Amino acid sequence: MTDTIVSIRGITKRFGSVEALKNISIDIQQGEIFALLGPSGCGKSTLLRLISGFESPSEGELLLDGNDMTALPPNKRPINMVFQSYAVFPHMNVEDNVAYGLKMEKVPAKEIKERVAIALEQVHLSNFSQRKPDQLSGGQRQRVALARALVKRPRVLLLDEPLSALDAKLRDAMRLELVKLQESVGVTFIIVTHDQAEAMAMADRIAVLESGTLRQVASPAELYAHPADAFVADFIGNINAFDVQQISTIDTGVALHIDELGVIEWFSEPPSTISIPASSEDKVEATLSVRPEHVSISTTIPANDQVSIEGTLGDIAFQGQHSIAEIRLDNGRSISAIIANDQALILPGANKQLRIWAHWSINNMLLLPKKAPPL
Amino acid sequence: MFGIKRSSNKAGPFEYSRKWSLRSVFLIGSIFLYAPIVVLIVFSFNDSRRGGNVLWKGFTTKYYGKAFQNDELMLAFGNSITIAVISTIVSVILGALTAVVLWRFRFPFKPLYEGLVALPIVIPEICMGVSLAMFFSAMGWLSTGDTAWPFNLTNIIIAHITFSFPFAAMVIRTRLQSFNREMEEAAKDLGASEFQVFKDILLPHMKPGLIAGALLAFTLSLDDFVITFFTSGPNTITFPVKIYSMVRFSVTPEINAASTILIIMTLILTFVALRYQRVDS
Ligand SMILES: Nc1ncnc2c1ncn2[C@@H]1O[C@H](COP(=O)(O)OP(=O)(O)OP(=O)(O)O)[C@@H](O)[C@H]1O
Ligand SMILES: [Mg+2]
Repeated sequence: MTDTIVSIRGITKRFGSVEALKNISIDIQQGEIFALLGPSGCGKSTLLRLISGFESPSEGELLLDGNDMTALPPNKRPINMVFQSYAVFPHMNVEDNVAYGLKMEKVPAKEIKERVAIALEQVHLSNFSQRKPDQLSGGQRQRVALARALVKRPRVLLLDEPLSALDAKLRDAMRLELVKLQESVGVTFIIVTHDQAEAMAMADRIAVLESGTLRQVASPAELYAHPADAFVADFIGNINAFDVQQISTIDTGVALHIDELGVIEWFSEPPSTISIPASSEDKVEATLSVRPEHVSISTTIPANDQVSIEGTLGDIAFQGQHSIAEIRLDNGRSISAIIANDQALILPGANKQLRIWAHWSINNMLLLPKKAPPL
Repeated sequence: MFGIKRSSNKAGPFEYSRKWSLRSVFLIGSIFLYAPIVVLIVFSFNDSRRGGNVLWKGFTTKYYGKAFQNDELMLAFGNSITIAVISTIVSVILGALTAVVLWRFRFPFKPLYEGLVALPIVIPEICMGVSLAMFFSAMGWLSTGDTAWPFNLTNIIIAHITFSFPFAAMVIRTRLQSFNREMEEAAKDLGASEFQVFKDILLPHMKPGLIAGALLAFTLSLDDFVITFFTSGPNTITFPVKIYSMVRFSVTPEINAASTILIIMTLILTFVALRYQRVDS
């Protein structure tokens, strides 16, 4: 599973004076689900449109199976796309929609019929072949768009925000369905999304983009456990971040000076992306963070080996399997902790102003630069 | 307990139909608009020799028969239909091309060009008529009556195209506004060429607009009087112009009958055009 199928090499895309993508290089592997993740306007769609051929790069090149395809028009690339609006042709029925791409290829009529039937089978639409798009639900229309692209047997399938037009319930079901479909057809999927949960649930690897730069490429677990910087950590799941004011070297490692937590001894090498200033008075661009699921709360002073902070109990939000408690720090900021429902039940409401301690093990903390240099 | 209290007698701000004053304005307006047409149609069935006769003398359809036997009237009718068909076809093709160009491309002075296309819609018809008449006479294209049918209608057809193609262009342009550009990209992504996208995706989308535009152009051409009057020659009389000359000669129920035929044709076409426009949305 180490064959590179699409290679993005030093791609920069400018729209007039706007630099939508800055020197992006990514290798996408054969057969994986690869997610492009980032906040709105970060350039995800632009990157997808570059791969599909609807935009051409200002700089850099795109390889498919090692061959340069930068100059190929979209209809000559063995890559197909599922559009955000699905763009199902309204005047054609489901069958004709799916057959359209094969007709353009001049595939013999008999083969078209067979392949369309198989494609409709794959997306569970066999009984809907004669329906017009306006007689279909949103989820069914999306599956028409999927079948229409897959029937072409593309090397790569591009999906722009494939689930954003569906309601929450259907979205969860379609996540699983898309993954299953990908496993059965074995086509490489590149999915654009701004929803980290969606990317985490579906993708084998995720590229995190931020305002046109590539921040990190890694598997979901890796991204969660070892984010490259504070931006990625915050974007991938929730995190409680504490600004580090100063770093000084001590014999066992470094000492981190944090207003809210005091001085914390960090017994290992800090990441190379954090520059330790020569003078301990200089400001440091780093944060020390802990995920809410590692934070516990107690009404008594916690043990000494724990990092802890005192505050007032705020709102508790019931989430189903667990609850999220808000701890209001004395400086006005809040942090959150994931707690068990039975613990949440015995805690008083926010109006009781209960003083509590939030605590966690130092081993669960992440020392991260505020912003790592782009890849 | 907290139900909405109805003040039963006072009309709310948006209950226009419950205000007596507004109702009477509506009623009077309707009478002035439609009464003459109703009278015209009713008296086309009046068994009286004079169309201006307001006394009901009994029901007859003989004036319809008379109208159909009036050779000059039927020739004018044939001219009108021929002109309308040809000018509609040309108007829709020109209008569609204009609409696609204006919708699809960006070019310098585009707003100016858009304004110019819409100009024939706002220019008073009488001015269009005079200017076209002057243009044809300056070019030496006067209808002298020597040219064979239907080439003697060329001037009128050109004139009708100039005022009806902007309407067709506007209707088609409006329809294009609702086209999802991702559809075009999806087709290209599936392997379609530029021409195939136009044929398979854009044209089917435009179809309701094309039909509505065609019907609009047809009705505009069929009942145009002013511009036709200025551009027609002695042998190229159209239906409305013929009715006008008949009125000047004498008012008979035959004219009522002929006018009724024109009204009904226009009504049917307008109705169909509106239906297609509704398919739009
Ligand atoms: N055709 C264009 N002309 C000019 N600027 C553009 C064009 N397309 C995209 N941009 C700009 O490039 C940047 C990235 O846009 P892009 O559509 O790739 O964002 P995105 O990550 O897909 O965002 P979203 O999640 O909102 O869809 C934006 O600042 C956008 O304004
Ligand atoms: Mg986008």
